Amino acid sequence: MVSMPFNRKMDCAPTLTDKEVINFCRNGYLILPGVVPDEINRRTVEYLDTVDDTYEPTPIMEQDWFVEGVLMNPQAAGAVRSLLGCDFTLPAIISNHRGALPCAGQGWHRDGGSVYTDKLEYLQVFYIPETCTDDMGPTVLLPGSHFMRIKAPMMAHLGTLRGTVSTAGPAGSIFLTVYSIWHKRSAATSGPRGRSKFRNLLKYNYWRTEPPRRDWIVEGDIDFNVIDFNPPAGYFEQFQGGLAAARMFCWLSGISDEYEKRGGQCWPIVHTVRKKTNQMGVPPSLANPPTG
Amino acid sequence: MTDLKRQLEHIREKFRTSRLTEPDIDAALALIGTDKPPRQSLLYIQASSTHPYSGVVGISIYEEGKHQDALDEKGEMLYKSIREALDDGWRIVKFPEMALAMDEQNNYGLGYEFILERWR
Repeated sequence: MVSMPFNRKMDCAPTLTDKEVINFCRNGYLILPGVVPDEINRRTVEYLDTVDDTYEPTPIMEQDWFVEGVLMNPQAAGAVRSLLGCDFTLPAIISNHRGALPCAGQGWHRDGGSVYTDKLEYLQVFYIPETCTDDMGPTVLLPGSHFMRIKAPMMAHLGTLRGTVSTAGPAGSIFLTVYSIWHKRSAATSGPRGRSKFRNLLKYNYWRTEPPRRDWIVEGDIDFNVIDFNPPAGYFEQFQGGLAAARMFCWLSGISDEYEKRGGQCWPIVHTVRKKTNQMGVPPSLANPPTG
Repeated sequence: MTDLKRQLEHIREKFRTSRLTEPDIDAALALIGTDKPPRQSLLYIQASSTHPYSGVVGISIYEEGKHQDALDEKGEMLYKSIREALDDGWRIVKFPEMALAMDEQNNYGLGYEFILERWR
Protein backbone atom coordinates (compact mmCIF):
# COMPACT_ATOMS: atom_id res chain seq x y z
CA MET A 1 0.00 0.00 0.00
CA VAL A 2 1.12 3.56 -0.77
CA SER A 3 0.22 6.14 1.84
CA MET A 4 -1.51 9.37 0.81
CA PRO A 5 -0.33 9.71 -2.78
CA PHE A 6 -2.79 12.53 -3.49
CA ASN A 7 -1.06 15.59 -4.98
CA ARG A 8 2.32 13.98 -4.37
CA LYS A 9 5.10 15.45 -6.51
CA MET A 10 6.60 12.97 -8.96
CA ASP A 11 9.29 12.96 -11.61
CA CYS A 12 10.43 10.65 -14.38
CA ALA A 13 12.13 10.86 -17.74
CA PRO A 14 10.31 12.82 -20.46
CA THR A 15 9.29 10.77 -23.50
CA LEU A 16 7.97 13.33 -25.98
CA THR A 17 10.07 15.04 -28.64
CA ASP A 18 9.78 18.62 -29.88
CA LYS A 19 7.49 17.57 -32.74
CA GLU A 20 5.30 15.50 -30.42
CA VAL A 21 4.91 18.45 -28.06
CA ILE A 22 3.99 20.66 -31.02
CA ASN A 23 1.43 18.09 -32.15
CA PHE A 24 -0.09 18.12 -28.67
CA CYS A 25 -0.35 21.91 -28.88
CA ARG A 26 -2.02 21.63 -32.32
CA ASN A 27 -4.43 18.79 -31.49
CA GLY A 28 -5.12 19.36 -27.80
CA TYR A 29 -4.81 15.64 -27.10
CA LEU A 30 -2.47 12.65 -27.26
CA ILE A 31 -3.67 9.03 -27.37
CA LEU A 32 -1.40 6.25 -26.05
CA PRO A 33 -3.06 2.99 -27.13
CA GLY A 34 -2.78 -0.04 -24.86
CA VAL A 35 0.13 1.19 -22.71
CA VAL A 36 -1.10 -0.28 -19.40
CA PRO A 37 -0.32 -4.00 -18.90
CA ASP A 38 -3.20 -6.50 -18.95
CA GLU A 39 -2.70 -7.50 -15.31
CA ILE A 40 -3.12 -3.89 -14.14
CA ASN A 41 -6.18 -3.48 -16.37
CA ARG A 42 -7.69 -6.64 -14.87
CA ARG A 43 -7.07 -5.50 -11.30
CA THR A 44 -8.52 -2.08 -12.07
CA VAL A 45 -11.75 -3.51 -13.48
CA GLU A 46 -12.02 -5.89 -10.54
CA TYR A 47 -11.55 -2.99 -8.11
CA LEU A 48 -14.20 -0.90 -9.87
CA ASP A 49 -16.67 -3.78 -9.96
CA THR A 50 -16.16 -5.17 -6.46
CA VAL A 51 -14.60 -2.52 -4.20
CA ASP A 52 -15.71 0.92 -5.37
CA ASP A 53 -18.28 1.43 -8.13
CA THR A 54 -18.88 5.09 -7.27
CA TYR A 55 -18.42 8.15 -9.46
CA GLU A 56 -15.23 8.97 -7.55
CA PRO A 57 -13.22 5.85 -6.67
CA THR A 58 -10.32 8.03 -5.51
CA PRO A 59 -9.12 5.50 -2.90
CA ILE A 60 -7.88 3.34 -5.79
CA MET A 61 -4.86 5.67 -5.62
CA GLU A 62 -3.91 4.00 -2.34
CA GLN A 63 -3.12 0.83 -4.29
CA ASP A 64 0.55 0.85 -5.22
CA TRP A 65 -0.09 -1.26 -8.33
CA PHE A 66 -2.46 1.46 -9.60
CA VAL A 67 -0.02 4.31 -8.94
CA GLU A 68 2.86 2.45 -10.56
CA GLY A 69 0.94 0.81 -13.41
CA VAL A 70 -1.45 3.59 -14.39
CA LEU A 71 -0.64 7.00 -12.90
CA MET A 72 3.11 6.53 -13.23
CA ASN A 73 2.91 4.26 -16.26
CA PRO A 74 6.20 4.98 -18.03
CA GLN A 75 4.70 6.11 -21.33
CA ALA A 76 1.84 8.10 -19.82
CA ALA A 77 3.89 9.68 -17.04
CA GLY A 78 6.69 10.36 -19.53
CA ALA A 79 4.23 12.33 -21.67
CA VAL A 80 2.91 14.15 -18.59
CA ARG A 81 6.50 14.95 -17.54
CA SER A 82 7.20 16.30 -21.04
CA LEU A 83 4.21 18.64 -20.95
CA LEU A 84 4.11 19.68 -17.27
CA GLY A 85 7.81 19.62 -16.40
CA CYS A 86 9.54 17.96 -13.48
CA ASP A 87 7.85 17.52 -10.11
CA PHE A 88 4.35 17.37 -11.55
CA THR A 89 1.72 16.26 -9.05
CA LEU A 90 -0.31 13.11 -8.97
CA PRO A 91 -4.10 13.69 -9.06
CA ALA A 92 -6.15 14.73 -6.05
CA ILE A 93 -9.23 12.84 -7.18
CA ILE A 94 -10.11 10.08 -9.61
CA SER A 95 -13.47 10.14 -11.38
CA ASN A 96 -15.04 7.18 -13.14
CA HIS A 97 -17.49 7.73 -15.98
CA ARG A 98 -19.02 4.32 -15.51
CA GLY A 99 -21.66 3.95 -18.18
CA ALA A 100 -24.14 1.12 -18.55
CA LEU A 101 -24.13 -0.58 -21.94
CA PRO A 102 -25.99 0.37 -24.06
CA CYS A 103 -26.71 4.02 -23.30
CA ALA A 104 -27.42 7.32 -25.04
CA GLY A 105 -24.64 9.69 -25.99
CA GLN A 106 -23.87 13.05 -24.42
CA GLY A 107 -24.03 16.46 -25.98
CA TRP A 108 -20.87 18.34 -26.92
CA HIS A 109 -19.36 20.18 -23.99
CA ARG A 110 -16.19 21.47 -22.39
CA ASP A 111 -15.70 20.56 -18.76
CA GLY A 112 -16.59 22.93 -15.97
CA GLY A 113 -13.72 25.16 -14.87
CA SER A 114 -12.29 25.53 -18.38
CA VAL A 115 -10.26 28.60 -19.16
CA TYR A 116 -8.64 29.53 -22.46
CA THR A 117 -4.98 30.29 -22.09
CA ASP A 118 -1.58 29.55 -23.59
CA LYS A 119 -0.52 28.27 -20.17
CA LEU A 120 -0.62 24.50 -19.79
CA GLU A 121 -0.77 24.28 -15.99
CA TYR A 122 -2.55 20.92 -15.82
CA LEU A 123 -3.61 17.97 -17.95
CA GLN A 124 -6.87 16.07 -17.99
CA VAL A 125 -6.07 12.41 -18.51
CA PHE A 126 -8.35 9.44 -19.25
CA TYR A 127 -7.70 5.73 -18.80
CA ILE A 128 -9.70 2.87 -20.39
CA PRO A 129 -9.09 -0.37 -18.45
CA GLU A 130 -11.06 -2.49 -20.94
CA THR A 131 -11.19 -2.40 -24.71
CA CYS A 132 -13.65 0.24 -25.90
CA THR A 133 -14.97 -0.11 -29.43
CA ASP A 134 -16.88 2.54 -31.36
CA ASP A 135 -20.21 0.94 -30.47
CA MET A 136 -19.38 1.08 -26.75
CA GLY A 137 -19.69 4.84 -26.52
CA PRO A 138 -16.08 6.05 -26.52
CA THR A 139 -15.28 9.68 -25.84
CA VAL A 140 -15.14 11.72 -29.04
CA LEU A 141 -12.91 14.80 -29.30
CA LEU A 142 -12.75 17.75 -31.67
CA PRO A 143 -9.04 18.35 -32.36
CA GLY A 144 -7.98 21.97 -32.06
CA SER A 145 -11.09 22.96 -30.12
CA HIS A 146 -9.06 23.82 -27.02
CA PHE A 147 -8.51 27.16 -28.79
CA MET A 148 -12.21 27.67 -29.64
CA ARG A 149 -13.79 29.76 -26.91
CA ILE A 150 -17.32 28.84 -25.93
CA LYS A 151 -19.51 28.19 -22.90
CA ALA A 152 -20.83 24.68 -22.29
CA PRO A 153 -24.52 25.77 -22.19
CA MET A 154 -24.02 27.38 -25.62
CA MET A 155 -23.06 23.99 -27.10
CA ALA A 156 -26.26 22.14 -26.25
CA HIS A 157 -27.73 22.42 -29.76
CA LEU A 158 -24.64 21.09 -31.55
CA GLY A 159 -24.89 17.75 -33.35
CA THR A 160 -22.50 16.31 -35.92
CA LEU A 161 -19.18 18.13 -36.31
CA ARG A 162 -16.65 17.64 -39.08
CA GLY A 163 -13.18 16.30 -38.16
CA THR A 164 -13.90 14.62 -34.83
CA VAL A 165 -11.70 11.84 -33.43
CA SER A 166 -12.83 8.74 -31.55
CA THR A 167 -10.81 7.56 -28.56
CA ALA A 168 -11.92 3.96 -29.03
CA GLY A 169 -8.95 1.76 -28.27
CA PRO A 170 -7.60 -1.41 -26.71
CA ALA A 171 -7.59 -2.09 -22.97
CA GLY A 172 -4.98 -0.04 -21.19
CA SER A 173 -5.25 3.02 -23.43
CA ILE A 174 -4.56 6.40 -21.89
CA PHE A 175 -5.25 9.75 -23.49
CA LEU A 176 -4.05 13.15 -22.36
CA THR A 177 -6.03 16.30 -23.13
CA VAL A 178 -5.96 20.06 -22.74
CA TYR A 179 -8.75 20.55 -20.23
CA SER A 180 -10.86 22.86 -22.39
CA ILE A 181 -11.07 20.54 -25.43
CA TRP A 182 -14.60 19.97 -26.79
CA HIS A 183 -15.69 16.38 -26.19
CA LYS A 184 -18.62 14.09 -25.54
CA ARG A 185 -19.47 10.51 -24.85
CA SER A 186 -20.82 8.97 -28.05
CA ALA A 187 -23.88 6.72 -28.00
CA ALA A 188 -23.25 3.12 -26.92
CA THR A 189 -25.26 0.70 -29.01
CA SER A 190 -23.63 -2.51 -27.82
CA GLY A 191 -24.38 -4.57 -24.76
CA PRO A 192 -21.70 -5.56 -22.21
CA ARG A 193 -18.55 -6.94 -23.82
CA GLY A 194 -15.80 -7.39 -21.28
CA ARG A 195 -15.52 -8.56 -17.69
CA SER A 196 -17.38 -5.49 -16.46
CA LYS A 197 -20.96 -4.84 -17.47
CA PHE A 198 -19.99 -1.19 -17.74
CA ARG A 199 -17.73 1.00 -19.81
CA ASN A 200 -15.34 2.33 -17.20
CA LEU A 201 -13.46 5.52 -18.04
CA LEU A 202 -11.22 6.91 -15.31
CA LYS A 203 -10.47 10.63 -15.45
CA TYR A 204 -7.96 12.62 -13.42
CA ASN A 205 -5.73 15.70 -13.52
CA TYR A 206 -2.01 16.19 -13.10
CA TRP A 207 -0.65 19.64 -12.20
CA ARG A 208 2.51 21.57 -12.98
CA THR A 209 4.63 22.86 -10.09
CA GLU A 210 7.65 24.21 -11.96
CA PRO A 211 7.90 27.04 -14.50
CA PRO A 212 7.82 25.79 -18.09
CA ARG A 213 10.99 25.17 -20.07
CA ARG A 214 11.96 23.11 -23.08
CA ASP A 215 13.15 20.11 -21.11
CA TRP A 216 11.45 17.33 -23.05
CA ILE A 217 13.43 15.38 -25.71
CA VAL A 218 15.03 18.15 -27.75
CA GLU A 219 15.54 17.36 -31.43
CA GLY A 220 18.90 18.86 -32.30
CA ASP A 221 18.24 19.24 -36.01
CA ILE A 222 14.68 20.52 -35.85
CA ASP A 223 13.78 23.56 -37.99
CA PHE A 224 10.85 25.38 -36.36
CA ASN A 225 10.41 27.48 -39.50
CA VAL A 226 9.08 24.64 -41.65
CA ILE A 227 6.62 23.12 -39.18
CA ASP A 228 2.88 23.47 -39.71
CA PHE A 229 1.36 24.53 -36.38
CA ASN A 230 -2.23 24.59 -37.69
CA PRO A 231 -4.66 22.25 -35.91
CA PRO A 232 -5.87 19.49 -38.24
CA ALA A 233 -9.54 20.19 -37.48
CA GLY A 234 -11.78 22.54 -35.61
CA TYR A 235 -12.63 25.70 -37.42
CA PHE A 236 -10.42 28.77 -37.54
CA GLU A 237 -9.98 31.79 -39.72
CA GLN A 238 -6.89 31.11 -41.84
CA PHE A 239 -3.74 30.69 -39.67
CA GLN A 240 -5.44 31.64 -36.38
CA GLY A 241 -5.35 28.08 -35.02
CA GLY A 242 -1.66 27.76 -35.90
CA LEU A 243 -0.87 31.06 -34.20
CA ALA A 244 -2.63 29.86 -31.04
CA ALA A 245 -0.70 26.57 -31.08
CA ALA A 246 2.58 28.45 -31.55
CA ARG A 247 1.78 30.67 -28.55
CA MET A 248 1.16 27.58 -26.43
CA PHE A 249 4.42 25.97 -27.61
CA CYS A 250 6.36 29.14 -26.80
CA TRP A 251 4.84 29.24 -23.32
CA LEU A 252 5.74 25.57 -22.79
CA SER A 253 9.28 26.35 -23.95
CA GLY A 254 9.51 29.18 -21.42
CA ILE A 255 10.01 31.80 -24.14
CA SER A 256 6.68 33.62 -24.21
CA ASP A 257 8.56 36.90 -23.97
CA GLU A 258 10.31 36.11 -27.27
CA TYR A 259 7.09 35.67 -29.25
CA GLU A 260 4.87 38.38 -30.63
CA LYS A 261 2.19 37.99 -33.29
CA ARG A 262 3.32 40.75 -35.61
CA GLY A 263 0.67 40.18 -38.29
CA GLY A 264 1.08 39.40 -41.96
CA GLN A 265 3.34 36.55 -42.97
CA CYS A 266 5.09 36.23 -39.62
CA TRP A 267 6.16 33.02 -37.88
CA PRO A 268 4.73 30.35 -37.89
CA ILE A 269 2.44 31.11 -40.84
CA VAL A 270 4.84 30.69 -43.78
CA HIS A 271 6.13 27.22 -42.99
CA THR A 272 6.78 26.67 -46.70
CA VAL A 273 9.97 28.73 -46.55
CA ARG A 274 13.10 27.04 -47.81
CA LYS A 275 14.82 24.96 -45.15
CA LYS A 276 17.06 26.90 -42.76
CA THR A 277 15.40 30.19 -43.72
CA ASN A 278 14.11 32.07 -40.69
CA GLN A 279 10.58 33.43 -40.89
CA MET A 280 10.01 37.00 -39.69
CA GLY A 281 9.22 37.00 -36.00
CA VAL A 282 10.52 33.51 -35.19
CA PRO A 283 11.53 33.53 -31.51
CA PRO A 284 15.35 33.75 -31.28
CA SER A 285 15.51 30.56 -29.19
CA LEU A 286 13.77 28.66 -32.01
CA ALA A 287 15.55 30.32 -34.92
CA ASN A 288 18.12 28.69 -37.18
CA PRO A 289 21.66 29.93 -36.61
CA PRO A 290 22.97 32.43 -39.16
CA THR A 291 24.59 30.77 -42.16
CA GLY A 292 27.95 31.65 -43.67
CA MET B 1 -51.83 14.82 -46.88
CA THR B 2 -54.34 16.13 -44.35
CA ASP B 3 -57.67 14.42 -43.74
CA LEU B 4 -59.53 17.51 -44.94
CA LYS B 5 -57.59 17.65 -48.19
CA ARG B 6 -58.19 13.96 -48.72
CA GLN B 7 -61.95 14.42 -48.20
CA LEU B 8 -62.07 17.39 -50.59
CA GLU B 9 -60.36 15.38 -53.30
CA HIS B 10 -62.91 12.63 -52.66
CA ILE B 11 -65.72 15.17 -53.05
CA ARG B 12 -64.26 16.51 -56.32
CA GLU B 13 -64.07 13.02 -57.73
CA LYS B 14 -67.69 12.29 -56.79
CA PHE B 15 -68.79 15.66 -58.18
CA ARG B 16 -67.16 14.88 -61.53
CA THR B 17 -69.09 11.61 -61.71
CA SER B 18 -72.34 13.15 -60.44
CA ARG B 19 -72.32 10.99 -57.30
CA LEU B 20 -71.80 13.79 -54.74
CA THR B 21 -74.11 13.65 -51.73
CA GLU B 22 -74.83 16.00 -48.86
CA PRO B 23 -73.14 13.66 -46.27
CA ASP B 24 -69.91 13.92 -48.31
CA ILE B 25 -69.96 17.69 -47.79
CA ASP B 26 -70.91 17.31 -44.11
CA ALA B 27 -67.90 15.03 -43.64
CA ALA B 28 -65.63 17.70 -45.06
CA LEU B 29 -67.15 20.39 -42.84
CA ALA B 30 -66.65 18.19 -39.79
CA LEU B 31 -62.91 17.97 -40.51
CA ILE B 32 -62.38 21.75 -40.45
CA GLY B 33 -60.28 22.72 -37.45
CA THR B 34 -59.30 19.17 -36.54
CA ASP B 35 -56.01 19.17 -38.47
CA LYS B 36 -52.82 19.23 -36.39
CA PRO B 37 -51.24 22.67 -36.79
CA PRO B 38 -47.89 22.61 -38.57
CA ARG B 39 -44.83 22.57 -36.33
CA GLN B 40 -41.63 24.51 -36.70
CA SER B 41 -38.55 22.43 -37.50
CA LEU B 42 -35.13 23.89 -36.86
CA LEU B 43 -31.82 23.26 -38.62
CA TYR B 44 -28.54 24.61 -37.20
CA ILE B 45 -25.63 24.80 -39.59
CA GLN B 46 -22.14 25.91 -38.58
CA ALA B 47 -20.56 27.04 -41.84
CA SER B 48 -17.06 27.91 -42.93
CA SER B 49 -17.96 31.53 -43.77
CA THR B 50 -20.88 33.96 -43.83
CA HIS B 51 -21.63 33.11 -47.49
CA PRO B 52 -25.19 31.75 -47.68
CA TYR B 53 -24.05 28.84 -49.85
CA SER B 54 -21.09 27.92 -47.57
CA GLY B 55 -19.92 24.40 -46.83
CA VAL B 56 -21.09 22.77 -43.60
CA VAL B 57 -18.69 22.38 -40.65
CA GLY B 58 -21.33 21.24 -38.17
CA ILE B 59 -25.01 20.38 -38.34
CA SER B 60 -27.93 19.50 -36.08
CA ILE B 61 -31.64 19.17 -36.73
CA TYR B 62 -34.71 19.46 -34.54
CA GLU B 63 -37.56 17.89 -36.51
CA GLU B 64 -40.06 15.21 -35.54
CA GLY B 65 -38.79 11.78 -36.51
CA LYS B 66 -35.20 12.84 -37.04
CA HIS B 67 -32.17 12.39 -34.75
CA GLN B 68 -30.42 15.56 -33.62
CA ASP B 69 -27.17 14.43 -35.26
CA ALA B 70 -28.63 15.06 -38.75
CA LEU B 71 -27.03 12.09 -40.47
CA ASP B 72 -28.42 10.17 -43.45
CA GLU B 73 -28.55 6.37 -43.72
CA LYS B 74 -24.92 6.32 -44.90
CA GLY B 75 -23.78 8.26 -41.83
CA GLU B 76 -23.16 11.41 -43.90
CA MET B 77 -24.35 14.87 -42.95
CA LEU B 78 -27.88 15.49 -44.29
CA TYR B 79 -26.63 18.59 -46.11
CA LYS B 80 -23.10 19.39 -47.28
CA SER B 81 -23.84 23.06 -47.82
CA ILE B 82 -26.41 25.64 -46.80
CA ARG B 83 -27.52 25.72 -50.44
CA GLU B 84 -28.53 22.04 -50.27
CA ALA B 85 -30.67 22.83 -47.24
CA LEU B 86 -32.31 25.78 -49.01
CA ASP B 87 -33.05 23.53 -51.99
CA ASP B 88 -34.77 21.12 -49.60
CA GLY B 89 -37.25 23.69 -48.39
CA TRP B 90 -35.44 25.31 -45.46
CA ARG B 91 -35.29 29.08 -45.07
CA ILE B 92 -32.72 31.05 -43.11
CA VAL B 93 -34.19 32.78 -40.07
CA LYS B 94 -30.96 33.87 -38.40
CA PHE B 95 -27.65 34.87 -39.89
CA PRO B 96 -24.32 34.47 -38.04
CA GLU B 97 -23.34 36.76 -35.18
CA MET B 98 -20.10 38.42 -36.18
CA ALA B 99 -19.16 40.70 -33.32
CA LEU B 100 -16.91 38.08 -31.70
CA ALA B 101 -15.21 37.27 -35.00
CA MET B 102 -13.68 40.77 -34.89
CA ASP B 103 -11.36 39.77 -32.03
CA GLU B 104 -7.95 39.41 -33.71
CA GLN B 105 -6.30 37.53 -30.83
CA ASN B 106 -8.81 34.80 -30.02
CA ASN B 107 -11.10 32.27 -31.66
CA TYR B 108 -14.75 31.89 -30.75
CA GLY B 109 -17.14 29.02 -31.30
CA LEU B 110 -17.35 26.85 -34.39
CA GLY B 111 -17.44 28.77 -37.68
CA TYR B 112 -20.44 30.90 -38.64
CA GLU B 113 -23.81 29.66 -37.47
CA PHE B 114 -26.97 29.88 -39.58
CA ILE B 115 -30.37 28.88 -38.17
CA LEU B 116 -32.97 27.66 -40.66
CA GLU B 117 -36.60 26.66 -40.29
CA ARG B 118 -39.35 24.85 -42.13
CA TRP B 119 -42.91 24.00 -41.08
CA ARG B 120 -44.39 20.51 -41.17
